[in-house]
Amino acid sequence: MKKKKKRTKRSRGKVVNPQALMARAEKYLSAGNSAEAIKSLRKIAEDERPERWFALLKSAYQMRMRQLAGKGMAKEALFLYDNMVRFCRCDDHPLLIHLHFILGKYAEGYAVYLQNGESFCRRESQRVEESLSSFLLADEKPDLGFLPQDSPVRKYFSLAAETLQAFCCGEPDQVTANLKQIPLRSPYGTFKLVIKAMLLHEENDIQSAGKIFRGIRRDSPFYVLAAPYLSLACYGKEVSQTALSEPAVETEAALTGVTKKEKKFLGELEKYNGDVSRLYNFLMRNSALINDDLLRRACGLLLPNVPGKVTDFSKRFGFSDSCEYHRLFALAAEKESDFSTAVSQWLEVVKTLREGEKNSKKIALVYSRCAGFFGRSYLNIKGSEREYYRMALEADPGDRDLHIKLIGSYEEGNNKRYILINDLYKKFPDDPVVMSLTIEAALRRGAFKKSSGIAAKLLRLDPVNRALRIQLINAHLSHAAKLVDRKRMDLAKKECETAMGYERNNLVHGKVHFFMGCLEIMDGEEKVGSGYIEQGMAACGHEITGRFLLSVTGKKLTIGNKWQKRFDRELRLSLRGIPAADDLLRILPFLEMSKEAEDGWEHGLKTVSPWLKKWRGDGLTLDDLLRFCRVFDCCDNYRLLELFGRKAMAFKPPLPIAHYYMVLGKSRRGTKKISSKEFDRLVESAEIAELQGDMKTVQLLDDLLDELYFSFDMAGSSSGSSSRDGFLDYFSDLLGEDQEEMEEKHRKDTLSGVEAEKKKGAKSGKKNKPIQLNLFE
Amino acid sequence: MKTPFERLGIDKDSDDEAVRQGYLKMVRKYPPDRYPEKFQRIQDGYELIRTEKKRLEYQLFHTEMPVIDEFVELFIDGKKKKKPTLKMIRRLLRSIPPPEGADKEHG
Repeated sequence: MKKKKKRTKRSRGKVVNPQALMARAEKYLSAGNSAEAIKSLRKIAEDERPERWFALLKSAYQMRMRQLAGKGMAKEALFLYDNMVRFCRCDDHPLLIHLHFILGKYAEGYAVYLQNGESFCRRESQRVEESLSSFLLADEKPDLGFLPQDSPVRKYFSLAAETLQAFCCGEPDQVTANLKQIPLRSPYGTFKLVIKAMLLHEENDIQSAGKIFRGIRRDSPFYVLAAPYLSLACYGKEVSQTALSEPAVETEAALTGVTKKEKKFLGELEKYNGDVSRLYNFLMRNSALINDDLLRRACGLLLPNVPGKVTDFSKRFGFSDSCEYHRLFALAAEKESDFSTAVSQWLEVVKTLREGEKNSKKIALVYSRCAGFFGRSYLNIKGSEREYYRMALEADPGDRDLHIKLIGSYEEGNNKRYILINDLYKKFPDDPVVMSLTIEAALRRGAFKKSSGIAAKLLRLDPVNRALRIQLINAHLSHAAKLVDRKRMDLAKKECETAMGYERNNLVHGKVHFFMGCLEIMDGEEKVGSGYIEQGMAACGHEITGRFLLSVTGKKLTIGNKWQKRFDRELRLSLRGIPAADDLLRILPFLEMSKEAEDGWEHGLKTVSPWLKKWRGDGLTLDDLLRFCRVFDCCDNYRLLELFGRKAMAFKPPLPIAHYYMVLGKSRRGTKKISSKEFDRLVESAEIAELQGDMKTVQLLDDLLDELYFSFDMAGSSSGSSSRDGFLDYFSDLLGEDQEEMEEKHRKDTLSGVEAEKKKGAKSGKKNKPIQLNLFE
Repeated sequence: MKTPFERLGIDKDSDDEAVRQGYLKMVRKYPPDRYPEKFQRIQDGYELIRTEKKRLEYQLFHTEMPVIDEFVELFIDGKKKKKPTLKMIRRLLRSIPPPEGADKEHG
């Protein structure tokens, strides 16, 4: 009863606007729902059907037929074909032929082709013949009687069928011989190529096979043979799994040897990518599917990231030796930045390695790694770092890099560093890296003759090394300056001439000319000297930079008041107006000049400082600003350091190093008080730098915070307790001490400071000022 | 997931020259324009074991996470592969999709 009612309701249904029905059909079509699209379109009355209706209905029918054919319902599709012709007054012969072929009605399909052959383009004809060949090959005993005797489909059929048989029976020679007889221009041409590629795949010649597979046209019927191969990892998964038909999936499973269950497991693996702990558990859960070796390897790789699973791993697989056990623990500790545990575990590794033979290089590597932890640590335990490098060198004395690391653990300018470099140079006199290191060290020590000698030797090995050439020229010029000090003008000029000999493509921007000019002037040859200076200015190509360089050179060579004043005046005259970013960038490399020019350099910087202060803060990148900051840090020019540091801080997110430079300038290297808020922010910056792994900046901030600690101003601080907590947390973290211990220590320190102040007050007889008992309360 | 030795198709005890040869062979097999990811892995693998010292460092300190793709590759490598049977090929040949498009209006 109910059903009846429903039907009546539906049949009475609302009359829907044809436009709305068309729109609905279009929606269905784009969603791939062809059946509903046909239903909607058929509801439109005959006299209300616009021109577009025919095209839409035809598309809907075509889609439906393809879908049915794909589901193995070719008979139903063929029935729909008649409907399409009737309602849409159009046909689709290639589709009709295909449907006949699927149903095994080859003669009918071929007849349609023959009747309408004239309307087929070359490509369509080719496809019809290829699909007929393909369907015939798929049939066990097809009847070819309907084909004319001279039809190429018939002519080469038995050869192709035999080839297929031979391929499946594992007779590659027979396959090759047959393929040679099948012409490429026949309907079996693509078949020939695919079978050839399949044969190459069998022979494991993936590269050649891939080339052929990839060359198969996607619209060729024989592409179905290539698709399962192209979905394999070895061909770069050119065809996705979802694009494969059911038989292709079956073939692919045979080719890979992976079962459905295993495939599901592999598919789910991707979900756990990046989540180490869940991935470990997932692998263990599916251990029945994975071969033991592979499971051990995968879990072993995950282990350093999930140290909690070490026991579980050990139970399941055990460790091959104690070395492996300690190694994994050490790596896990490293991941958690627990360096003390890491070191103790590595030392256990060394113990085990010592038991074996020929492990000295491994031992050296382990010690070197441990040294690295101390070097990286903000506590900067240089003694331990060096000790570990020394132990590493004992194990492997011939390791040049270890020597260099040990040298690197000493500050520049340290005498021990210089001695070690010289020892290393004796050991490796022809090693370019060692030579460079020695040149730098010699330059720093003022041993210009030595450095220029090694540089010249190195330049012979590496004549296009630009930086080295500059270094060599500078070494000669610095030696010349030294000789001027000793009143050996003739030798100084000779050094300058040698430097000039190394100059190529204006590498030092006229510096050599300025030197020569100044030397000539000092020698009384003012005209000749002026000529050199003019040449230098032309070579430099930038007035401010040229004048700066000249002023610095004059000062360095102590040219005398008359000329120095003249140079400085000319420099000041060139510094008119507000500095543009371009001017700053031109002068920056000269401001960065090493300390080799010490006196003169500072003199020049002093002259240009007022001009630099006028800069409005635009046009420079963060990198440039930090370079300027480094220059001002070197010469303790705090006002400029604060100005450029502040501009660098404006870049988002602000870098801890920029914050460091700004506060360094503002606090005059920690000697001037800063607010507690600023102090807190600086602590935060240190934490950020630590998180970023920038231990060098952490070290710098740590030193600055140390300085500031004694000038820490809490007056007017509203966030005293939070500052205090943050401060103590920070320092206890740094020193690895308990907070309670820290507080106790701090209280004692403060009280002893108060006692000292009281005594001092009592001694001087002055009235004691009220002293803050605890900086944080 | 694969060791650099496996990526370069060489033995664990290979010397510098064998490592170089393995690298060149693999680069020829997997050129960067066609296999960018695989090439990158080969390149990274080569960098890890280029010298004796690097090979020792790799043995002691390597901690790279397993690469899922390589795990799948190794998983499949360990499986028994079969050749497609005649029945499979025939099923494939019957699964040709219908041609797209071409249709004619009835005047």
